[in-house]
Amino acid sequence: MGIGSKDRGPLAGIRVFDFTVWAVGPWASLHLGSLGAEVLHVEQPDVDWSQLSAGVPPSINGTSVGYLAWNTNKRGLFLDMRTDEDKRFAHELIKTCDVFLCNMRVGVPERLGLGYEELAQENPGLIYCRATGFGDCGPRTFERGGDGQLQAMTAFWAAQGARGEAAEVYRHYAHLDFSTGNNCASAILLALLARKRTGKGQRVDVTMLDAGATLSLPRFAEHMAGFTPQPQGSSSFVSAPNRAFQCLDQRWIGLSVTSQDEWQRLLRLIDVEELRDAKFATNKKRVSNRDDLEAILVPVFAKRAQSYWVFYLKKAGVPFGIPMDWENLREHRQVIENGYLTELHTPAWGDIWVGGPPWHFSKTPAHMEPAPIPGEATFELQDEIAKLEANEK
Amino acid sequence: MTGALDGYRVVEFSEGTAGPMIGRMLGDAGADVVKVEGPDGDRARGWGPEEYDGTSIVFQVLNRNKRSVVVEQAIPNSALGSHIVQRLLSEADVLIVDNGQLDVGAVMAQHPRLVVCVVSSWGPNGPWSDLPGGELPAQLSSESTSSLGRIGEEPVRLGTELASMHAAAYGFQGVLAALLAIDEMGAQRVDVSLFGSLMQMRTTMWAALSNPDEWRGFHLDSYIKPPEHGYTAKDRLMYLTVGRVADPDEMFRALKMDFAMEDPRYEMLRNDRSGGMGDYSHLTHDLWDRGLSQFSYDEAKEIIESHGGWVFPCLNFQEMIDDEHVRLMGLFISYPDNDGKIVRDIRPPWILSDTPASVRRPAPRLGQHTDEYDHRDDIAG
Repeated sequence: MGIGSKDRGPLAGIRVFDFTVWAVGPWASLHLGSLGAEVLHVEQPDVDWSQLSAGVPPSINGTSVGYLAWNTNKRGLFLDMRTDEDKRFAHELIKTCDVFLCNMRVGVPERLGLGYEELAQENPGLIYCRATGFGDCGPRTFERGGDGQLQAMTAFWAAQGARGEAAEVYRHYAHLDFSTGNNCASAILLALLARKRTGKGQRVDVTMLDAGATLSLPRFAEHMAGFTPQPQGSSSFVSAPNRAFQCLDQRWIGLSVTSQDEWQRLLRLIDVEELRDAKFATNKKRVSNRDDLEAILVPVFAKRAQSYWVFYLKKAGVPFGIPMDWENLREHRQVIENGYLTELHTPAWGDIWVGGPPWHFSKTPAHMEPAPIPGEATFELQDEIAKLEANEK
Repeated sequence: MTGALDGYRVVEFSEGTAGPMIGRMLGDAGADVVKVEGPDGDRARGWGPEEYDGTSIVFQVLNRNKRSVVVEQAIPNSALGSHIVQRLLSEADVLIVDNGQLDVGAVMAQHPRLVVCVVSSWGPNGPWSDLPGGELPAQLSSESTSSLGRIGEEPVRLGTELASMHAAAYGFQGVLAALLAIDEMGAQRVDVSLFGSLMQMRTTMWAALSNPDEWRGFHLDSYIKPPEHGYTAKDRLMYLTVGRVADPDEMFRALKMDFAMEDPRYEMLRNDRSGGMGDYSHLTHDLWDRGLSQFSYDEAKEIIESHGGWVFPCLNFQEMIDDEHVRLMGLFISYPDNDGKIVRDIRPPWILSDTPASVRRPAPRLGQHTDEYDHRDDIAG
């Protein structure tokens, strides 16, 4: 059977068994769902809705915002893996799936009878993806991996902070968890492509340590080449001038000059003799003499209002951006016309805004559906398996 | 064993961080990636400080597993007519292109089997679609910088090029999804942007802001908090979460924090459920620091974890690289560049049991492989 449809998305026809908790696993499957796969998200039948997604605050009509934001584009399935009946049902369902996804701690899926060997034997085409904090080959194997832990342990914080101050943690849990989820989704897509050629599934392993290291790839590369990055406010590590400047009206504007061509355009706009000094002639020289360069530019930007700079930087073709927030983003044409926020009308939680989808496909648009009522599709799926079994007899 | 994308050919008409990172991942997965550059090369070749000798290290790690072909015209719309580019595109499965660098409609009309991924700063539609942007602009406009620094002061940039790295992750996914659907749907165009990728990453925030039962928790109030620098034990910087501690009083007694129990803020301290992200963490931080400074990291970890909390170290770049677990995993790798100088890099961030990723060649010199293509003048198609 072919994969992809105009109405559902490029992964229409793919089915995912989503045995995931917290944020990492759910993030992978929410994207597979948005791309068109049918995702069966497992919860315990006796789950207290206030404890879904570990009850991460705030709640919306009693349900954690985590559950609502991380489980869009899925169907709800109840399974109690402590009972033989549900265990059997799980195995029958997984036989109909293309992908098995889990992010329990090392050893937990095996204990529940959902280890790779067992499932691959029952369904040789199955792609079995497991996300963990630390993999399973070292002293940290059984440590808990969350976004905060991984921010701290992968040096994610080490180069961010105000100029000359100590490094600081990012006050939002997102990038480490979600990047790990993104790597799961990507690796699953790779395994599906390989299956087109080999006809066989395989095992996919993704760790939060890998994701965290790769996110900071430019910083690690600089460090390992002998240039350890330090917190430097809004200034870039790779190019200059590339930082936020305060304008006359106290607002900020973020300048992002990353090529020689853009530098020339800036020089045509800001005609200050000192900027033509040989020590600013190339990007590498500007990065090495960043403090001197910024000392010239700070008072220049402070002389005019933000809207002046927006007007002239735009005209000159110099890259820039301005700080925005939720109240202007939600109404902003750039967001609306690209669909970068989606308002979901949910049965139990009112209207909720979520980000994405992040891709635009010309033929197979991605879609967004609200998180399911937990377990909502259980009877339907039980019926489906019962019919399959009846046909086999 | 071969890579998952063995046999796929990719042309990369893209520079900087995001597009080349897509190319790096496709290359790691086994695809043959040819990078097309103008005579001055990818702008990232000239990034970094003057003191670093040679092509920038960031360029090198973003462009491993690729070959480089130089075309005469830096503005590739005219290069579209050029021999080499036509030849490359006619043999390719995937084109990665920065917004505005090629007439994508014309390319797709000429090469109907080509999946085209367009990378932009702001997205394909809307009033900003053709404006130049970049990493800091995308971070500021998506309000991603509001989780760092102090209100009213200079914004703090995220420690790494997150808008670009996330746009790359989504570009990679988009290309793979389009390749999966190609038999049924034919080739198509997929657009990703730096701004849109960060908008996606803030989704928990948007949902929290839209309709919360009560205005509390780090998704809603981290904006207004001061910078969080971690907690200080005697011998090192650490971080902790205590949300699952059953008996906080007992834990604080074990940590010899009787002084805190007499402090008027003790109720806040004992109800703080989540380390630095807790509702009151910024108000009680000094109590923790005073308590923890009595212990070494190992001692503090043992006490707090025996009560159900979690303690972990804040590692800097070198400490992460030297971590025993990280070394056993083989996370950091090295290989020689074209001049025999060692490049230190990071392994691909996924493991596929049957179709492993691989690093097969270092980043190319500018135009290193132009001749391989220049001498082939039998244009297909």
